[in-house]
Amino acid sequence: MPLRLGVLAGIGLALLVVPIAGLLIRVPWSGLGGDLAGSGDAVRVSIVVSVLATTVAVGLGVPLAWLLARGSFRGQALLRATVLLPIVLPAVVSGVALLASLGRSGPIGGLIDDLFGITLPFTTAGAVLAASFVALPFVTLVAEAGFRAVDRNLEEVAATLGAGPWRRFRRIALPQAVPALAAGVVLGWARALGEFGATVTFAGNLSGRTQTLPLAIFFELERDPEAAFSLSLVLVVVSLLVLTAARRAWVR
Amino acid sequence: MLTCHASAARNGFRLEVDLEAATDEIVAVVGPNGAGKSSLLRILAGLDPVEAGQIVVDGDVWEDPAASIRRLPEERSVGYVPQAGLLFPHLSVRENVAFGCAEEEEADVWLGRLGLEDLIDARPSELSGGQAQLVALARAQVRRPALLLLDEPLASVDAANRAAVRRVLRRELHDSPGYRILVTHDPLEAAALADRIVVLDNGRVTQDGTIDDLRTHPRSTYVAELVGMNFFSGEASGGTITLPDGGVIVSASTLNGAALASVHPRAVSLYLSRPTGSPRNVWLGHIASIEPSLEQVRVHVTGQVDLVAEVTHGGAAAFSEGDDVWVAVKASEVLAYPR
Repeated sequence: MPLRLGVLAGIGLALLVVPIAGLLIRVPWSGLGGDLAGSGDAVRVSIVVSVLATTVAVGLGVPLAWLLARGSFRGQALLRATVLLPIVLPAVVSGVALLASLGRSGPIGGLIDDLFGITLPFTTAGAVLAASFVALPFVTLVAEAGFRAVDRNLEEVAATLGAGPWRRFRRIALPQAVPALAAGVVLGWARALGEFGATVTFAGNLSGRTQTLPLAIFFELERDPEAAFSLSLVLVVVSLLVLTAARRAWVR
Repeated sequence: MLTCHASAARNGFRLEVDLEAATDEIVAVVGPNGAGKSSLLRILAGLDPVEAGQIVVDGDVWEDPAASIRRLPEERSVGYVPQAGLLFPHLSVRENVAFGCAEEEEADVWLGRLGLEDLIDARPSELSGGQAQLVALARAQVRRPALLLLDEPLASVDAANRAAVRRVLRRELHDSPGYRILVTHDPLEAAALADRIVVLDNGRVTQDGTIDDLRTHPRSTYVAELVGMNFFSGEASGGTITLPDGGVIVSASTLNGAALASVHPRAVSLYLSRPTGSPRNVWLGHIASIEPSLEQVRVHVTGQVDLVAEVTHGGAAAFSEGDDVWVAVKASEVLAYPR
C-alpha cells in the first residue's frame, strides 16, 4: 500500500477509534453496576419501544418491500424515494413532521384524539411510532434487495404446481429471502434502539414512559456524566453485537 | 385433442405456432437455440400470455385473447419440468414433490416409483443433475397433469448417467395418460423419447413428422444437419435435379419441378481413381475436411456438388485433406421429393 494512503487510512481509523477508546477510559467500571441499575426504567423503555417498533417496521416494511421488488407501476421510483426519505432526513425533522401530522392539533392526530380519545405525542405509543418511522426504511430497503434476489423461475414453477400468489409468496419467496430479512430486522432494531431526535421531539423525555437509553444518556450528561458514560458503553456493546450478527446474515 | 394456435412476441422475434397433439403420442419439439422452443412451453404452461390465437385442451379453452379468456398457470392442469429441474432449494426432496399435492404419501409413492426413495430427506443441493431432473419430474407428475411439459430434460444430466435417466424418462412418458410435449435440441434424445417430432425454427414450425420422415425427407438444412443427411434443394426434370449453383445430381425418380433430395453420407463412395461400373453420379471432388467421430469418419468433399461422405476409420486412412478424390453416388440412393 502506498504510504500516503496508509497515513490517511490511519488517521481515518483514529477518528473512529479514539472517541470509543476515550469512552472506555472514562467509564467508571467500579460503579457500572449501580449506574445501570439506576437506569432500569430507561433500559426497560428502550427494550419495549425498540422491539415494538421493529415489529411494526417488519410487519409493514416486508409488504412494502414486496411491492417495490415485484410491482411495476407508475410512480414506483417516487414511492421508493418516499420510503427511503427518513434515512436521509435529520431525525428532528422526522419528529417535527410526526408532531405536525399526529400531534393533538395535527389533522390526523386531532381526528384520532376526537374519535378514540387516544393521544400519541408524549406517550410510549408515540415513542414507538417515532422509532417505527425511522426503522421502517431500513427494513424495507434490505428486504427489497432480498426479494429481488429470489429466483422468479422458482415462483413460476410453484404456479404451475397450483400455488396462487399468496402461497408462492409464503412458501417460496419469503423463505428464500430469510437471510436478508434477518439482516433487515437487526438493522431496523438497531436504528430503533438508537433513535433520539424524532423521539425527543415527538414523544418527549418522560422517565419510565418515553425516556429511552439515548435520551437518558443525553440528559444524564449534565446531571451525572459518569452514568452517561456507563449507559453509552451499553449501547456501544449492543451495537457491536448487532453489527456482527447483521454481517453474518449478509454474508451467508 | 390439444390445439395451440399461438402468436406472441418474444425477445425480438415472433413466435407463430400451430401445434396439435393427441394423448396417444409423445411430441418432441426440436430446433436450434433461440428458435422459441422454451417460449412455446411457457405459453402452454400459462407463464407467458398469447397475443392472438387459442389454446384448447380436451375442449376446455385455456386461453383465447379474443374472448378475454386466460387461465393462470395455477388454474391449468399442467406438469412443467423446467430446464435443470429448478427444485425449491429450501425444501427437502419430499417437500419439493409434495408441494403440489394434498397428501404427502403421494410424494413417497412417486419417489419410490422413480427409484428415489433413498433421497427423500436430501436437499436439492445434494443431488446430481439426473436425480434433480427425476425429482422435478415426480414433482410435476404427482398432480397427474393433463399436459406434461419437459424442457431439455437431459441437458443438465452428465453423460455417464444420461442413458439411465433417459430410460426412466421414457418409461414415465409412456405411462403418462395425458398430453406429453418435450423440448430438446438433441435429435438422439428426440428419437429415443418421442413418437413425433415438431421442428421449430425462428418461431415457426418448419417440419412435423416421425424421426424416419425427418431422416429421409428433411425439408430444411437444419433438419438435414440434425439427422446427418446430405440435403439438396433445386429444380427437377425427369429426376435430374439442378442445384442453384449449377451442380447436377441424378435420382432414380421421375420427379419434375421444385424438388428436395437427401443422400445418406454412407451412400457416398470415394475413390482414388475414376470408378468403373455404372453409378449415375460421378465427379472429381476435393477433400475440404476430414472429421473423425466415434464409429465413422466424415469426409467433406467439394466439387460439382458439395457433400459429406461417411467412411470407416480404415477407409479414411487412404485420404488426406486437400486431396482430389472421385465421388460416386448411385441414383437409387438419391431420394428426391417435391419441395
